[in-house]
Amino acid sequence: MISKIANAEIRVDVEGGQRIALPIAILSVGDSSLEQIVSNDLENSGYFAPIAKNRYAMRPQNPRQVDVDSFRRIGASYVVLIERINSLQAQFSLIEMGSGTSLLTKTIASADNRFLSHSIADDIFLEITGKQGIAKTKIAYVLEKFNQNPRYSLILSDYDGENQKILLESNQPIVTPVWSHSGNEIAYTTYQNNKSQLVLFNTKNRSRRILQQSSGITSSPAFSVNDQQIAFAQSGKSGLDIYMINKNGGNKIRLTNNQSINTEPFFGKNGRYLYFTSDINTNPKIYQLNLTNGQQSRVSGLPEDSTSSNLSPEGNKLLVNNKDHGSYKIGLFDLDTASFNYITDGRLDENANFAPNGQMIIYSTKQNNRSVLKVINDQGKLAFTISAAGNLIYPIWRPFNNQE
Amino acid sequence: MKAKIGLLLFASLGLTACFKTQKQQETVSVADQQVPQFQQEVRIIQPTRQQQELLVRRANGDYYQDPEYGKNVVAGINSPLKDRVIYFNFDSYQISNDSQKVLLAQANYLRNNPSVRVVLEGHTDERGSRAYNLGLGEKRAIAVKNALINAGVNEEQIETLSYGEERPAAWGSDPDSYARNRRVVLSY
Repeated sequence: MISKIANAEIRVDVEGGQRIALPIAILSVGDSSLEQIVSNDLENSGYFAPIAKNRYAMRPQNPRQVDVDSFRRIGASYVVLIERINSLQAQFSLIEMGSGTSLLTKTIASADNRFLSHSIADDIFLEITGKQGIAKTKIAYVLEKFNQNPRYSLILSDYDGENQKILLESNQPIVTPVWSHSGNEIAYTTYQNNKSQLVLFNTKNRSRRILQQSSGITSSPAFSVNDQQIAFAQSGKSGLDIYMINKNGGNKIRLTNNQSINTEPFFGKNGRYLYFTSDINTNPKIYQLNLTNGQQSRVSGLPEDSTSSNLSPEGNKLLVNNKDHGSYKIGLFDLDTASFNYITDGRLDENANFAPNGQMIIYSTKQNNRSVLKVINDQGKLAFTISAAGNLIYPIWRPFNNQE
Repeated sequence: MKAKIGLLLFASLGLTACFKTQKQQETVSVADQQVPQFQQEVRIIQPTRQQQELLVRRANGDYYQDPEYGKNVVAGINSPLKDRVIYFNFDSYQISNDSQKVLLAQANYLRNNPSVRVVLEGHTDERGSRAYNLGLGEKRAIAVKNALINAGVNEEQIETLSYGEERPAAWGSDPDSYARNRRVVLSY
């Protein structure tokens, strides 16, 4: 009930393509570390503009002490008050300044401060925007280190790059990783004994299984909608073709058959279409294959030289890597309206991935001769950059279905 | 082994510049002590005028203009790196005439040594999507494989492997680095 009222009063407006971020005051009692993480999460989303702490005229110790007029004067639409109850629990209240009413009061329990803070941020985001937040989600990416010998690590972290865990390490490249829709598995390609291997890795129990092994290259796996099949690109006598195989390794089917580079397959939302990149007509372009009738056609409306797509969670938008005047940028393509626009402006931007709520995008780019990860919101505004002593490449955002 | 040769070449070029500075300050002996592991290479590679011109040409992106390219083709484990590399143009898997000398010498070696096996490692520069580049690297390796087969090498001796842009030979984001990275390495 309260939630509905809140939604009716949303001022998450889009004016001239730009959303106006909602001014929000975030205060805490007893533990300022929570306040900072919640504030970062809300600001990162692009929906909120946390108000600088030094502008607060008062420091309320509980929700009843929040003086609405005082916070209205500094422009706050909302006030969040976080109270640390004990080492495991925190309670927060979300108060709307327009009506002066409390929209939400909730107690959250976790021994992990970061998880606790991300949970508060997601609850606030959901309450005000009606959309599921991504503060609790995880990302994975490859860290490429070059000392005496190259070293490749597959790393899992919070969406903001904190709380890193190494899932795998190798002296061979780890390439083209992808999450299963369940969020329990990562399929990727690596190398062993001069062979290319397509590996299924279970992130829960850390088990590995080699699904395909070949000369040349077997890469770019993609899970089917129900996670039971995997499409991939594999080289043969004259080029790379798209194949599909059951997750248990059976029933391998060849889906393209030409002399070209066919790669980067991914399934459409309803599983009827398989999209892929092909250079069959000179420059690489994105094609769609109807899996029911075998009809294949170019996705029209995209510029020349389009590769490397990622489908939005709703299934109606593609993130595309495009060559534009010698630079490689990320473009956003609407499958329903065929409209296209660039959302990044770098020279070597690549491997863009949607957050599971479709509201943010992570991609890899070069900065000072090193690959870093950038996270932008759906307005194209940079939220933050993740960098390391090495190259950070192949970012993949874990789907919602599985949260730790 | 391959990496080491590349490293020494880079190290020696870097040190040449370094030595010039040191000489002006008359502290050459100090520099020697600081970098003992490179002394040998520094003495060998005092770049001549011709070599310096070559470096400039390489910086313009055309590795085949190296007058030494293909002159010292000895296939096998101990062969120098540059003679086991076929270079390519941007987004291309066409083998250029410049590489014929190296290709034919390698084919000759493989024909005369039918028990020897070679892995053709396909590489690209960093431009373009990583997944597409894995495909492009493989197309380059296949092109070299076909050229070797046409020159009489038994197909059974040849395997391909694509690293795309994942294993660069040069680290810069410049035309020279890109030219060095667009390659197929014959790995014995």
